[in-house]
Amino acid sequence: MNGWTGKILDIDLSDATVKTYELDMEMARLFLGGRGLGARLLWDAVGPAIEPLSPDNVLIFATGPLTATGYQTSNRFSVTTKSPLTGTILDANSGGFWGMQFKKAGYDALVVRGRAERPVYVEITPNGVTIEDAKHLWGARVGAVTEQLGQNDNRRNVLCIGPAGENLSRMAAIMNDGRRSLARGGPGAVMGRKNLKAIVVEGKERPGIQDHEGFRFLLYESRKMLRTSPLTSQALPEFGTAVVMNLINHIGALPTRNFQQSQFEGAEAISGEALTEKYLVKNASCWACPIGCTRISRTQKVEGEGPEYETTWAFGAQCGVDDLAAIIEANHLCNELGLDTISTGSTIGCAMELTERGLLDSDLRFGRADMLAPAIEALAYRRDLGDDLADGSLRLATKYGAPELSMSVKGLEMPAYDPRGMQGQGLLYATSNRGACHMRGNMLGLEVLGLPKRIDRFQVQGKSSYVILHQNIAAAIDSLVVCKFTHMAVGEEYFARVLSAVSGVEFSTGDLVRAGERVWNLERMYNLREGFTRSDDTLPSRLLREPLADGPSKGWVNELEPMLAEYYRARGWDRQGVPTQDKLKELELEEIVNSQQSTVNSQ
Amino acid sequence: MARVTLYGGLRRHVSAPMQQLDSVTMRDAELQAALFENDRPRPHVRVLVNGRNLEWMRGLDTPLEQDHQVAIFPPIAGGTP
Repeated sequence: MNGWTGKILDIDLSDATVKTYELDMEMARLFLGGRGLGARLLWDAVGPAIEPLSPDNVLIFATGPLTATGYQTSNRFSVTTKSPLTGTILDANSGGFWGMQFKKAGYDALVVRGRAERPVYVEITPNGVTIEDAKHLWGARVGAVTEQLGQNDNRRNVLCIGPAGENLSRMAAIMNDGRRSLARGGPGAVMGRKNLKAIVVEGKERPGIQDHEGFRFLLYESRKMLRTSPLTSQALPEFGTAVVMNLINHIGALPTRNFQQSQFEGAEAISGEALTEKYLVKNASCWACPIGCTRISRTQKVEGEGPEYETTWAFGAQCGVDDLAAIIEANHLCNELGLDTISTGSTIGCAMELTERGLLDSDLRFGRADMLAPAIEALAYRRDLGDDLADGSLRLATKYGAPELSMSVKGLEMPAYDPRGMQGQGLLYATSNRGACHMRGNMLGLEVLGLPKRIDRFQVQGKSSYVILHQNIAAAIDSLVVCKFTHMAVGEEYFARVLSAVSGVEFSTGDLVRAGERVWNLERMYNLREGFTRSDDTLPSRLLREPLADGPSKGWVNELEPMLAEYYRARGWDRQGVPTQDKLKELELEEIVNSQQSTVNSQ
Repeated sequence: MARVTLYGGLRRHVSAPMQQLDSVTMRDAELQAALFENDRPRPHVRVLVNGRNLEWMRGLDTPLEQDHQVAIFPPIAGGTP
C-alpha cells in the first residue's frame, strides 16, 4: 500500500541501539497511523507495571498515511506515551514541519525506549541515524536549541524539550520547529526522563501516491471548499482561534476564575479581535496549509507565535487577567520553557482560588497579571511553590486540602468551555481517554456554531450519539493525520476518498469512522488495563452540583449521569463502561486485547 | 432600546462595534449583504439575544426589549488542534 513508508525506527537509548523494522500492513489498515498506530504500539510496549516516568515507558512519534503527501494540512504527527500527569494513555499531536520532514526521512513511526546515561540528541538524516552528545544543550530554552541545531529554513527540522521537560514537570510539552507543541499530558517529562533533549530530522523522499490523477482532483476540490468556507477562508486567517472568545463569553460558557463564573468582564480585551487590532504582526502557516490561522504577535517585550484561544483563556479568564500583552508574554514563555499552556494557566488559576480561600499562602490572586511570568518560571524549574504547580492542579489541590478545586478530568486540566453551558462538551470531557480535551470531538461546532448541524447546547437526551460520532471522527482524523480545521470545510467523506487515492485501497467513509471507533475502544481498553473505572468518567463536583449563578447559562449544572448511561449503551459497552466482547470482535480488537491481557497478567 | 454589538469581520462595516439597533448603520447596504441572503440570515451567521441563539427563539420575529443585548457574529470556528 502507498501512503505508508512501511518502516518503523526503534531507538533504545539505554544501550544506544538503533533498529529498523517493517510496519505490519494489517496493523496499518486497522489503525492507520498517528494516534491510532501509536495506541496499537503502546498497547504492546507499556503495560500497567511500568510507571510513566520510568525509563521503560516509551515515546512513539507517528505520522499517518496522508502525512507529507501534500494534501491540505498533511503536516501533522503525534506522540503517544503513558501520561505522567494522568496515568492514562496519551497522545498529543502537532503541526508545523517536523512531521512532514520525518515522514520524508522514510519512517512511519519512531519508538524511543530506555534512558541515556547523559543528555543526548538524535539526528535522523539520509546518511543514517546517530545519537549525539547534548551536554551543551541541556538547560537551554527551546528557541536557542532550535537555532543551535539548525532549522535551516525547514530543510531540517528540530523537535526538543525545554527546561520544563528536563525538570520533569508533569505538564511539559515537546516542542517542534521552535514554536509548535505536542503539549497535553506531559510528554516532555517522559522525554526529559530519557535524557533526550532533541530529535533533528532531514528527509528527501515524498511518500508514494497510488492514484495521482484522483489525488490531484481531490486536492483541487478540497482547495475550493477551503476557499469558499467562511470559516477557513475568513474567520480563522483574520482573527485566529481566539475569534471565539466573545461568542463563548456571550453564551455564558467561558470559564472564569477557575470555573467560578461563566462570563468574564474582560473578554473583549483578550479576544481575537483585540489581538488582531493591537498585537498581530502577520499570519503564518504550517506546511501545506492554505488556512494560515497562526498568529505572529508582538508586545514591547516579545515577538512570537500565538496565542491560541485556549491559551488566551487559560492565562486570561481562568486567572481573571484582562491584560492581553501579559498573556502573549506568558504564552511566549511557555513556548520557550516547553510547557502546555492549558494546564499551566489552569493550574495557576487553581492556585489563585486556593490562595483566596486561605488554603494556600501565596501571592497568586485573580487578576494579578504581573504574577503570571514568575509563576511560569517557578513551575518550569520547580522552584518554591513551582514544585507543586509542576505536578498539575489535581495534585496541588489535593496537597492543600481541596481536590475539588482542580478543574480537571482524570487529572488533565479542562479547556476553555464550561460544561454547564454546553452539556455535550461535559460528556466529551468526562469520557475523553486522555482526560479533559476539546479536540476529541467537535462539540463546539454542534452546540454553538451549528456545524455541521445545529443542536441545542442544553439538550441532554440523545446527546451521546453526537458525542460518539464526533469522537470517532476525531480519532480517525488524528490517525491520518490532518488538521481538524480542514474537517470544518472538507468533511470526512473527502478524507476517506483521499486515503483511498493515496493508498490504492478502497476506504469508505464508514471504514474511516470505524477505524476511529477502533482507536477509541483500544484506548479505552488501555485505560481499563491501567485500573481506570467508570468512576473516572466524571467532572469536577463544581460542574455537577453548583448551578451557575447568572448569565445565559444561569441555573445549569452539567447533567452528566443520564448522558453517561446513554453513552455507554450507544458505545456497546456494559454499565461499567467496559467494551463488550461482541463490540471488541466487531472492531477486530478481540484478539489483540485478549492475547495481550493474558501476556500482561502473566508478567 | 436594545444594544447590538458586532464581532469579527462584521466590524469593518461600522464605525464602532456597538450600535443602536435602529441606527442608520444597521441599514447599511454592505452590512445588510454581510448578514442576509434573500431576506434570511446568511448560513452560520450567529445572532444571540441575551446569550441565546436567535434560532432557538422566534428567529427574526423574536421581540426585543429595551435591555436586551444583541450580539451578531460572522461565521467563525475555534479550538486548537
